Amino acid sequence: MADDALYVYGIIKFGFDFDWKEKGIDGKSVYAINQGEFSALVHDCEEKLYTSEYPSKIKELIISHNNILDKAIEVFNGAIPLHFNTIIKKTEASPKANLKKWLENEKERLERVWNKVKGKKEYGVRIYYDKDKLVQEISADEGIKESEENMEGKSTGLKYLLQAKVKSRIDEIIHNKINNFKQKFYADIKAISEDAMLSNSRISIDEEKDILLNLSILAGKQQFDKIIRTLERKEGKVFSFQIAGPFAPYSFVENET
Amino acid sequence: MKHNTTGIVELIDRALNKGVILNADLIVTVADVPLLAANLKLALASVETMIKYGVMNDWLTAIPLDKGENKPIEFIKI
Repeated sequence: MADDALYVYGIIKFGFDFDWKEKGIDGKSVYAINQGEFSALVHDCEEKLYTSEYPSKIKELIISHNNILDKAIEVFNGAIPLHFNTIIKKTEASPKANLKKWLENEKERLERVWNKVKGKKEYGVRIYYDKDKLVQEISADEGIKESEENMEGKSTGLKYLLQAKVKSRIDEIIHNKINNFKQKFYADIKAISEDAMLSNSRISIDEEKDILLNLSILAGKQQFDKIIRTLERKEGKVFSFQIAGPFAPYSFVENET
Repeated sequence: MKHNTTGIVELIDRALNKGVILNADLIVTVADVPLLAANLKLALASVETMIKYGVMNDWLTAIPLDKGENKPIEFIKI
């Protein structure tokens, strides 16, 4: 089947057509199609989606998609990522004409997104807490200790009721503390990053720990270093964190129509 | 970029679910669902399953397809 469609990796702010030395998915030659101030990084392909029954092949395809975006971010100081498997087909017009028309129609949105993401990368930040340690800290609280001391010498029935009351109080304190920690962490990180949002990922990676916050952040190099320093200061016996990335800024593009 | 276990899973999640989406009339779709082939979603679910059961590292170092030793896995429904 002829290569009569275009696979699009992403958009860069660059005013000319050019052939790039980089190889994309399945070793295809990547080149740029320009319209106005923006160019799309593409390769010629058949009019069908890239897929496989083999997860390792899908992994390879997605990594290839992202590698082109990674390199574009380095070379062109940014890239607006397109969804994996964006393949422009032929309609009454050629795929190239369709792409150029889309770039022209979307230039204002692309300009807004570019201004936001240029020079920035996306990272995943997961903050975990150790619930047992949090309970230990709360149990050492004077008010709780006093309540527990008051149980001494009480009848079994009364003791049971008091214990239930203390447990309920601890649960309430934990609930409030977790909410406060969430808000504080989120506010602190958002303040020092370009942008931050709660990640809606369904993926749970570490089943051993309780997750406090799962964020996607957009940050330049200095902002990222500052975020790491902030997290390291907060890291201790209760909190730990995990960083994933960098990625092209997939979560920070607008998709309104 | 070096992809560790967490990195690759988060990348798959983003590349399949985020990024700029073009108008459906311009792009190749499956059953009118833009971009997301059903088996890609299922593959993602299989990745989650592998993480859950601790075999993600095996998957990450899977033998390349051209050696013919990489068997398809059973997909789960999501």
